Amino acid sequence: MRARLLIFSLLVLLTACTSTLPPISPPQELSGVISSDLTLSGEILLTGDLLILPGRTLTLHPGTTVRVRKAESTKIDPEYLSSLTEILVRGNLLAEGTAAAPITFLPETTPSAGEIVWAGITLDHSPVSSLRHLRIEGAEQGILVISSSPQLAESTISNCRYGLVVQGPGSAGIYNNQINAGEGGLFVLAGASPAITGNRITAQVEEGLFVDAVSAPRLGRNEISGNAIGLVLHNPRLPFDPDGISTNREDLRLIGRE
Amino acid sequence: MRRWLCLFLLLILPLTARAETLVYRGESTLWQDTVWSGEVLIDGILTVAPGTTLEIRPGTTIRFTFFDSNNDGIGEHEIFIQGVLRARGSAEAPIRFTSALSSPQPGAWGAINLMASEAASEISFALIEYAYRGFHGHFALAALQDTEFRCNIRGTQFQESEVSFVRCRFIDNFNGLQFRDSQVRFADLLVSGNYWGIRGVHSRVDLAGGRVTGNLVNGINLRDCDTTITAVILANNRKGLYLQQSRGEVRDSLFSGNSEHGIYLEESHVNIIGNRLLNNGRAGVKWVASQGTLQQNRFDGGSEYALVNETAATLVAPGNWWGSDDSAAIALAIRDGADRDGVGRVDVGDFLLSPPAFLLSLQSM
Repeated sequence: MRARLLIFSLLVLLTACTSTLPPISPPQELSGVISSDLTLSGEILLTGDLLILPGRTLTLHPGTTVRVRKAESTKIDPEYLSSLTEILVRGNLLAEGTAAAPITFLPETTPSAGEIVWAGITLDHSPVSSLRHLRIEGAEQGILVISSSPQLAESTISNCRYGLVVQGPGSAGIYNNQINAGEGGLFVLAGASPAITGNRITAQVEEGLFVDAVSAPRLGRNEISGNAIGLVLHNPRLPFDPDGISTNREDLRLIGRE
Repeated sequence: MRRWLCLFLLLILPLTARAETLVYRGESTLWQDTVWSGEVLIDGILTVAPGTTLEIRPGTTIRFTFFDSNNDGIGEHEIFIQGVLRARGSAEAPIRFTSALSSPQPGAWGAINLMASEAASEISFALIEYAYRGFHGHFALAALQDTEFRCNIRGTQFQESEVSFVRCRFIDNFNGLQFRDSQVRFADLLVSGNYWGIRGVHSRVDLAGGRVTGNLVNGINLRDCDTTITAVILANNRKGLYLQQSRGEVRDSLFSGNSEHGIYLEESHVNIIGNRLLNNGRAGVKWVASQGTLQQNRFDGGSEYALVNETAATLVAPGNWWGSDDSAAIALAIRDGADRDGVGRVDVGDFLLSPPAFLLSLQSM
């Protein structure tokens, strides 16, 4: 009799709770190929690779949270660039959060210390992507820009192996971002020439900002501190603003070609 | 008389068509040995049945129409070889597999699929372009020579296969070559301008000679592979050679101008012997949780570091040229436990006092 009463009480309590709580909608699952324009908001669970085809646009509203599920296998096909779960943008990504409502990309479950869970966002020949007020965590490369000219601003990239990598031609604008606690902060490679100003790059195990021998970024004033090497330039004649580069194990490494 | 005329026309009509363009529409199958020459149009999916040989003569052009049923941007018209393919072009008259579109994009047609070969197929002196997968094999035996793959999404992709490539070129594809669970032999190849150059898993891979240059991600990335790499030039890639959980030997090769690392070893057991490394952006060699030997190499500078050790144990690396005969300068060229907690030191032992001779140069081949 006492047991029945207890069960009845629990059921009453459960009914009361469920009737007073707002309904919880499950996150919208997303993966595969985006072949028509798409706008999303709210909670999104990225369950596999996502490809935005050329000519198509994915728009994310402020406050959107994208949680990324770790890839089950170490696949090499039919992946796009990485064996990890990735967002590959060959069309456009318009992810413009606000200071009050950033757009967040993070692993579905809390990673162990230093664990890399997903590949990151790759812009590959993307004509007009714009990424502002993002928070990105736990990626191999937070944002990889290949031959694209996006605006990347006001975002925070943390605990990624590479924070931001820019490769190939294009005129990306990289302004006022924070890149911290990775292996390397910002890499400019393979003939890239982005504008890089107002960024704060800190606590990288290796380089804060790295520029290879064939790239020519326009380097404004950036705060680069607490890294193994602050700024590495393989073209020693490249102009840069030394103010703000401080308290690294080694602030500046200029390397000439042999 | 009329009956004889009809029979004559039936015999002569296919020959007439073949002299112009031979067309296959829809799903069709070759059940008998067939020879192609001239122009061939595949407007569908063509299968070469088991026990059947398709021979393609020099100078033949095979075009595939574009058909995309699921709107993913990938063309689906293609050819399946369940028998044997003998596509033997010549230097003067190569065979061309291409799109029927006037301005095609990579992925405009499917693939030359080789499935469960009964005997080794051959492709020589051919150009394969604008496919999703130029050559695609499962349980395939194939020998490819003097063939160029360009502007494909994947130049080649195969698994559980045995494939040799001699003097083949992979240029401006998205992925040059990718494979798994296979035996692969390369001689004098060129892999250039792809995103990924060569990417393999669980395979036996032997490369001798050739150039892997200007690939956007990695020149060569092998995971869980056994490999020998001899006299290969890896230049101007993001990473030159990236070996993960792999075993083997890298010898007499040149690593130059790679944006990040010339050689990146991760949980591998590899002997690195007699190579030259210069102008690799972050490091000539990055040695992460790996074993093996590092001897008789020539580190010529132009890198952030000649060697980065991220193995807990001391890395013993005697007999190398470090770009200087001065111990202090050598120490600066190495990042190890002296610079960072939790990793081992590098013991350079008796280092070379002058650079060893090295024959290969960027102008080679």
